[in-house]
Amino acid sequence: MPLNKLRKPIFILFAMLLIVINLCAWSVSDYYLGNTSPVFSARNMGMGNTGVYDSFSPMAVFINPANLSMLDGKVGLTVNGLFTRNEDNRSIPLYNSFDAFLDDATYSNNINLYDDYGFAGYGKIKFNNYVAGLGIHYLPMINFKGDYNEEIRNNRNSDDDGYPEIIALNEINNAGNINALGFTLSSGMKFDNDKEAQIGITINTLDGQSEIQKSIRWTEWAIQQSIEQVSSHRNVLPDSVYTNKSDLKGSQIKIGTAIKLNHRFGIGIAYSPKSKFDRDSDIRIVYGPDTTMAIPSTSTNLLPVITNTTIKDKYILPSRFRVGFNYQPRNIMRTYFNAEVEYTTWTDVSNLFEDSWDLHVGVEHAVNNRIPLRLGFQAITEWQAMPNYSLLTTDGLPTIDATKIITPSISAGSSVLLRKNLVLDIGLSFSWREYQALDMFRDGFYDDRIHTGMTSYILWPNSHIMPTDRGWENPDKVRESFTQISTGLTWSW
Amino acid sequence: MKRWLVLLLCLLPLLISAQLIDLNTATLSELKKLPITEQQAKDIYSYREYISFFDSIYDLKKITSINQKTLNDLKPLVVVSLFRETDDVTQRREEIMSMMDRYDSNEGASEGMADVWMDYLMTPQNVNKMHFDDIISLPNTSAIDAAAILYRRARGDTIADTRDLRNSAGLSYYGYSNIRSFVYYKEPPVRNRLYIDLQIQYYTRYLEEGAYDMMKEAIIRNTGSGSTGVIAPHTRKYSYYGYFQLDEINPDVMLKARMRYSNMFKSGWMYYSSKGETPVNFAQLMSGTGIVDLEEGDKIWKDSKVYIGYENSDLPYVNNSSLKVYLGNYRATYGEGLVMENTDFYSARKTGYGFGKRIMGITPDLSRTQEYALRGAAAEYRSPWFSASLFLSHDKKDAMVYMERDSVETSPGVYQYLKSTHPQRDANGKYDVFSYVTPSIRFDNDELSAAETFYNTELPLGDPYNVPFMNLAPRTDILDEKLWGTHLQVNPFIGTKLGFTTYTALYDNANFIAPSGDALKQLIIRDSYDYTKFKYNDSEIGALYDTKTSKYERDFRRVMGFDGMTVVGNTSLQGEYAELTVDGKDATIGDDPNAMIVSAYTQFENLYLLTLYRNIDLDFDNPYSNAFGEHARFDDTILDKNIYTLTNPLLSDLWQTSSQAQPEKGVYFETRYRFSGYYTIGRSYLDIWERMSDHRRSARFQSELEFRPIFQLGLRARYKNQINRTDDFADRAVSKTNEYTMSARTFLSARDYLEFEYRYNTVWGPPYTSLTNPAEPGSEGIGNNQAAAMVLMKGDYIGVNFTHHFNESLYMQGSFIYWYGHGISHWDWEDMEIDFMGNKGCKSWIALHSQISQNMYLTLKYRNKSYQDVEMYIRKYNEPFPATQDNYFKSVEHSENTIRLQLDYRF
Repeated sequence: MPLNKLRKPIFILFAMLLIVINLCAWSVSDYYLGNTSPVFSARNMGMGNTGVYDSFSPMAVFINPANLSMLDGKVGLTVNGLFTRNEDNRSIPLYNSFDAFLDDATYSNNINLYDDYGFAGYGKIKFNNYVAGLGIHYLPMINFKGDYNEEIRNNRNSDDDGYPEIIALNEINNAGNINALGFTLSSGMKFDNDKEAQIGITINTLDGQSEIQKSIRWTEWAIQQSIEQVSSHRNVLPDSVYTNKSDLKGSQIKIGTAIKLNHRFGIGIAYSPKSKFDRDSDIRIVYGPDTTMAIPSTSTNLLPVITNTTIKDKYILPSRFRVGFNYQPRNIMRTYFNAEVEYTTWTDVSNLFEDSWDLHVGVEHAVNNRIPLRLGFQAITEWQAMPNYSLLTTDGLPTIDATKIITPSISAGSSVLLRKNLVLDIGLSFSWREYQALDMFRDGFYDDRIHTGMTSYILWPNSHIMPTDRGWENPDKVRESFTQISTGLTWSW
Repeated sequence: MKRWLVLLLCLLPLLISAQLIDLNTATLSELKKLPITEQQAKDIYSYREYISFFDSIYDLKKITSINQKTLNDLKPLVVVSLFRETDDVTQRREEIMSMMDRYDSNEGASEGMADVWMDYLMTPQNVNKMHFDDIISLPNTSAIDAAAILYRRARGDTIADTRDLRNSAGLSYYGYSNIRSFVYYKEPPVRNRLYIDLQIQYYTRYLEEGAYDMMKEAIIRNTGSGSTGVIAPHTRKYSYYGYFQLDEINPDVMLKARMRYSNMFKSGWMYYSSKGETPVNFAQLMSGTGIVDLEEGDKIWKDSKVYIGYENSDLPYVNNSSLKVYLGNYRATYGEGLVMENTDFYSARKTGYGFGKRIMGITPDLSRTQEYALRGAAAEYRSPWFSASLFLSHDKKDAMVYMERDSVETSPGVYQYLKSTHPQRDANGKYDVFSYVTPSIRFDNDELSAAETFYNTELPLGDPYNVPFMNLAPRTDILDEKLWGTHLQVNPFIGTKLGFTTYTALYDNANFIAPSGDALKQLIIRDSYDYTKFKYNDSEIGALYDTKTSKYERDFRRVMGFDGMTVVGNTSLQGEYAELTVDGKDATIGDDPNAMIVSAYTQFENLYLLTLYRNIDLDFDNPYSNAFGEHARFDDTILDKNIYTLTNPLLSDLWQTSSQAQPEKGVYFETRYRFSGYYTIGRSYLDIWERMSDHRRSARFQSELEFRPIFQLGLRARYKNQINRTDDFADRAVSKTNEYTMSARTFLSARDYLEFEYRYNTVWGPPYTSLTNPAEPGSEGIGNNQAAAMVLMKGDYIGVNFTHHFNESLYMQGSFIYWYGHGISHWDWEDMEIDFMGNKGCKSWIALHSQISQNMYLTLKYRNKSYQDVEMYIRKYNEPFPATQDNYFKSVEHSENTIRLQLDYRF
């Protein structure tokens, strides 16, 4: 195919994938920041990721730096692991013989497992009624991991329970984290046994890489069809591989206060302003037939077009403001109750988004023999931005649509005292979300006629199938669930 | 001197004990003075502050760091005083906790009544001053029980305590056990003070089956026979479900705050945002300059319910009289709910007895009712002989309105239709309204208008339909309704009352117009091809009330009626007659559409018998009625069965969310009989009725037998049978349903229980009047040449339910159900709601209820429901557009995850 004919697909692919740069933690969905990492603490996870006033978990310092000077002991260390199972189901709308929308049929199912680890430590000094503490943590704050596989099959034999041929394989393989190396300074003052106030500040150095790869590769069967049926015996089916390697460097500040009003109530407030930091991206797009594929000597192959681009831009984390309280009532089970709300100014990231309030509620009961039972709830609002190719700007670029996605979660947890001062915490969380999204690999690409220049299909034996792009008029229905297990080992002295 | 010595001896123990440290009052520093470590002192202090006060010194052993030796050492040094933090209110709340839980969990069904009952549980009424209507409004209390109490008081007797109440002649044990928690005798159990109830609910829910079908119904152009070559677009957005992206999780959020000073001054506020609605943007509300965003503020006001009220059950100067005055949202309920019982929620077989109770008179309203909510002012005066109430309301209501196409004048006198529409108005600027409607989802009017324009763009492109645009559509808050009403009642004898109720709803900005017959058919059915779907029973739709007819023109709807009740021995007779003013005279009885319900209830200690007769005219269209009925209005009409034929699928909401009973006449018998210590015939009933629209006759019978060989074990067998029969030349249909249920319950200690349930049902459907494909696989293309026989559908259902109390502060409920139904729906009474389950699937849910403190309660519920919908047809492989035949496609699986968070604070 002449190069000038390739320009448009390359441009569209480039524009489409540019949006993908900003993804995604565990999920492959294209939206800014993806799933915000839960608090890297099994205890807090079990309690709905609450912890703006928390005197137990060294990791809760990440939520509110003022928590540091309330922690037990003089020195403490914690190591936490987070194991995530993500299930992603994408469905396509179904129509009946009256051409009426009936329901959605799942066309891809991906289950992936990920693990992440974090560490935190602290030390405290007491002077009479004053406490000063210094803490350090290192944990993944934003996660770019995500994997997705999809088979494109034609429809031959599909009405006899047969498996039609695979034409192409779509893949997304994302890796990388933005890690936060943070130092926390906190100071507290005790007014009497039941009244305390602390303030704290955390400075996070954010450093990370992301490697995003999205590819469409034609199968050997498809290539053979091309070689056999295109008059010049050429493989003209272009693979499309997009790679984006980014380095991200920046910093973030968080300030907070935690006030114990009396022996039952404590309130906590934390604020992290908007952070804007540098991202250097190397984008490589390979568009063309696979030259590594063994082809008959009578055939020829086109050379792929390779485009390398470097982009420097800013990566934005929205400001977050969290306020909540901790309540310790008299209860036959020793009880801690947390309720918090967090305000996120998504408008910092894009004016397509709206700011949101998130709700977190958690409770810990010591049910029996001091073994705690933790229960939690949270509902997180995030935003998805996707290019809309059915509505182009005057420059010919796709407009960007924003969709709000609410992710509710329930969680539970417990802990075991392994030795004196050594606690093993376990937290389990289940979240799910349902939303509509544009097809990640647009169907028009699999219309082989645009690659062969022929008037009839070589890959689609049924001429009634017309692979065309699906826009918002027929989006994917996405159902995702996240099952997360967090375990943490905390030592304090 | 001797006297001084005696005094010294008496004071000696006191002096000694004064040196002992009281574990229940000592400060931490005092505890630290004991010969224990600092950590042990802290542990004792923590135990007392965060777990429990000490009942005895031996409770110290519950503290891990205190061993026997330490306990022995401490014994002579400490003392445990009887000390409790609880006050009268807390104590009262603990006493009624389980009942509060029960009413709270039934809130969904009782819609606001739970709030009233919970208030009276907390701050009971004086049984020696309560009026007849006060007593019969309590749950599970009969008029015979109420009369027994009043007879006793009339003899000059004062009921002194619970035991005394039990000894009232004529009062059943069942009535007594229900009344006793709601009343006090001499002194109220709690003092007058401020009570606060706060509640947050966050609930992710999915649409109910009917609403789901309605929202998914496609709005597409006519493809015709295919000769035009028109291809209908495969566009998800051509359904409300796709257009409004109802896949997305969009929670129901409820914030509720109630405040009252005892039973005297009351106020409340509730904000409710339901799935699919555009909620208030709280971020925008308070964003920026700190000034409240007026648009969002206005939305809060519209989506909120609010009231303030004053109640005095012992008016000065007037003996034994009470007064209620409410401003804001209130409910008004009288008689059998024929004239006035304002609620959006229908419940079948609402008898007014037992679980189908009504709270008579004016009550504050923070329920989820929005369409038939009354907002204004209401006052009620009650004395033993006479009572009167007056209620006024001014509110904007949602309505199904006629839409008119926008047009432009392309050349002089020549107009061309645009795709957009607007609500149709008459020459006086009044909207033409088809009916009140309670939308399943209250879409924003502008968004609805945009959706209709989108549909109107597509509809005329194919073969032209008779109605090529959305000619009827719901609009929120479009109907300006001013309503006034009154209820007057005399109580000439104890247990006897005669009442008159009327209301008039004024419509300054709207005409109600609902044609009947062919005109209706052409109005609500899009394609003339489907006119045959319009059946005799659809006359129910044509019976909607009109304000503008050839006989009269007016701007109001008026209903008036009489109700009465009398108690004779152990039987109470009650009834209500109501008439809707149409073309008759207000003062003449019987010249207008009317409705009547009469019932007799006989009560013995172990047995009751209820007989109820109802006769509701087809034309009796009173949106504020919520009377006894087997089905909700418009059941089985085209609005229910053939949504796809409608000009707007949302018309189906007239049926989906109807709160009125279907016009029926029939007789209903109900009984419960505990005939031995082991055997009880549970609530059993027989209903024989005729549907007024098409005179279809039906019978429904249900009975259950419980055998409890030992207290801990209950075995139940239940049988249900329903026959619907139509013998009509045009539409012959008979259906028979049989349902058999067996269950075994074990009642364990601490109110725990475990239940296994199995259900089997069969439904014989009517024979198809058309031919169908042969059944052999692969013969789909042969053609419709086989006659269909009577269809037998079978279904199975197996379930496990359990409740486990970990302790008095934490308990768990759960259920697992698997069902398989070939075209049969099962239902399950799940926690707070009824869940309908079609075809086959499984469902499990678990709810944890935690009492955080004396004032705070948390409920967390998670539910997963996975099921397959009915089998679907899609175009066969290799089949060109448009399809000439169908092909089976695999069923589509649905998976629902639902969560409910409820947080209550009661002070």
